[in-house]
Amino acid sequence: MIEYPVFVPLGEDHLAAVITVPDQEPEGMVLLLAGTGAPRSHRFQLWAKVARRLAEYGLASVRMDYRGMGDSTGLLRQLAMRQPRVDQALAVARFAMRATGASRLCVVGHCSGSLVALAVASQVPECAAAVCVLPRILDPSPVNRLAISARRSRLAAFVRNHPLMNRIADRFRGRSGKPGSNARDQVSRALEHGRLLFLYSERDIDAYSDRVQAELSKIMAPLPRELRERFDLIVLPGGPVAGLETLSIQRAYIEQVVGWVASSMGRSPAAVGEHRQPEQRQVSG
Amino acid sequence: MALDLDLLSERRYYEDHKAGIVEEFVQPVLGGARTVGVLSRPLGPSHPLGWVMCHSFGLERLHLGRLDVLMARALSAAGFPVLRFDGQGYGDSERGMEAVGLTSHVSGVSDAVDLVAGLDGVRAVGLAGARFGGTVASMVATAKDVSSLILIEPIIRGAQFMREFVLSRVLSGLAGKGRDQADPAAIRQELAERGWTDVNGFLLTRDAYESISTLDLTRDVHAFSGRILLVGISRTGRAGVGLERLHRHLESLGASCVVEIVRDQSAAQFGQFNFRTIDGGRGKADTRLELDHTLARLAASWSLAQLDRSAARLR
Repeated sequence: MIEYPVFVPLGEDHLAAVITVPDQEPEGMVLLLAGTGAPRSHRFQLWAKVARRLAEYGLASVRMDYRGMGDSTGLLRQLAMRQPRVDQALAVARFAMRATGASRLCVVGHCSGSLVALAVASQVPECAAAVCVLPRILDPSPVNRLAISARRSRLAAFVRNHPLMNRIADRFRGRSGKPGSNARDQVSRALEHGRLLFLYSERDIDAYSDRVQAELSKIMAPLPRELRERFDLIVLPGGPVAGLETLSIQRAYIEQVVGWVASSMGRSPAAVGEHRQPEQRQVSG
Repeated sequence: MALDLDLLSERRYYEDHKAGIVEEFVQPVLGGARTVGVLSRPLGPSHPLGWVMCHSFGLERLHLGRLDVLMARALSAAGFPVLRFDGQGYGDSERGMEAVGLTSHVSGVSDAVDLVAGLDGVRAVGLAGARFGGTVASMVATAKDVSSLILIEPIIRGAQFMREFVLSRVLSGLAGKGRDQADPAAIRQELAERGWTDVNGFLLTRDAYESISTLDLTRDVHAFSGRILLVGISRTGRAGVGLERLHRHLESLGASCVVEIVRDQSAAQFGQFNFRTIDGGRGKADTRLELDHTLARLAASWSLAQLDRSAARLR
């Protein structure tokens, strides 16, 4: 395994990235996308670890800094979640595929990066698989928006410190608004040429809920069976995955992502490792 | 199809003619294993002083990473070569979090000083860092041949820093962020018995906890007579007690120390996550970008002023 750090030109800017290449000719390229505020290696070196594990399966990977983040040039003052940075991800993926000779792509995105991953998967015919970790497929409702805006207030701190009130407040935490306008279309287009995994944990209540599962079922319902079978929904026990704030969830995450990607790229059966088996939920169609 | 090594090699660097800098990725062995760094240099002639950026500890490395980059580019645009890199256990470095401790931070920066000292045209090396990065810079300056320091809100007492670090796990538990509640005594017991603990996803070893906890810059920096820019960030515009104590101590060693206080309403959050959710969860905004730019400009203008002073003395 060898790593090549590069600056990929895009317009006036240069996007910093590290390409990890296995010892043998790569069987595919995996684009790793972090969420807002995280550099290319992700929190706690997560993408660096995933990249090195994927190389053991003969897969190359590229992890990148968005414009204005990490070692990339440019400025990032504000980021709108519904305007994902797809052009940047595509530029880096195409460069990495050209430099390594890889002809198939897999894309993995975390949090806001999962929306970029879904958009890339829907647009790139060579994309054989995509992992979306914590994709928010529902927009926040007006009540959710109030709750989110108040997160840093004294009232919110008071509520969090009282177990009973904290439990009551849970009902306002999960997103319950309308589905994002692109999600349905992007999911079906991504499934036309590849597999798709949505990954959450039991405690990611902001991103995942019964309503989200119901919405996913609605998205899957009109699709042909062949496409529906390419979709996986996995909910890890414990969590939350958001913030990756325990070593055990980091390990479970790495095992799950590496195993699923390797399997989807035809490299080996998915390996879940020593952790509790995650729940693979059925999305009825 | 084989790897396109020419393309990969061509893209290791870029030139920014507007900023007047060139940046190049390097993969040196620092702190005992390979890592990834960026060497920023001016496109025009270089001053003989090279800088090494020292990053902070734990998640602060991530939160203050952009400041390190902006500062490196501002110094480089002012004519100085600058190296920034991932210490072992961070970012793209070869080793994992279990490697992180005071020793790993210090040895990585010490090796980086040697690397920069060996660059063409460099005759002196300076160290710059924010929070724990400033602490590491000060410690390395005691042992290595370092001429200048830029310390931004350095951690002066390691015991307090470690207390707050461990407390963050307790607060996280109280906020119900997915982990069992723990009290500081239980965490310390875990460190003593098992040799490590999990602080919000960061693997904190007993060695790191103990070695950082015993640090006190007003005692452990025992020799330095170079130039120092000591930057405080404050809501009121007044220097904190700790910063004043450090200033007095550094001057007592014979260092030439300038204190600058930057006034900022979010001073208490310096080193924390700098993106705020806006528009009810539909966007994020960077809350520290202006402050980071101010600090980067301050570092560059102070460094240039030091060169002028040296030139005046020679005349």
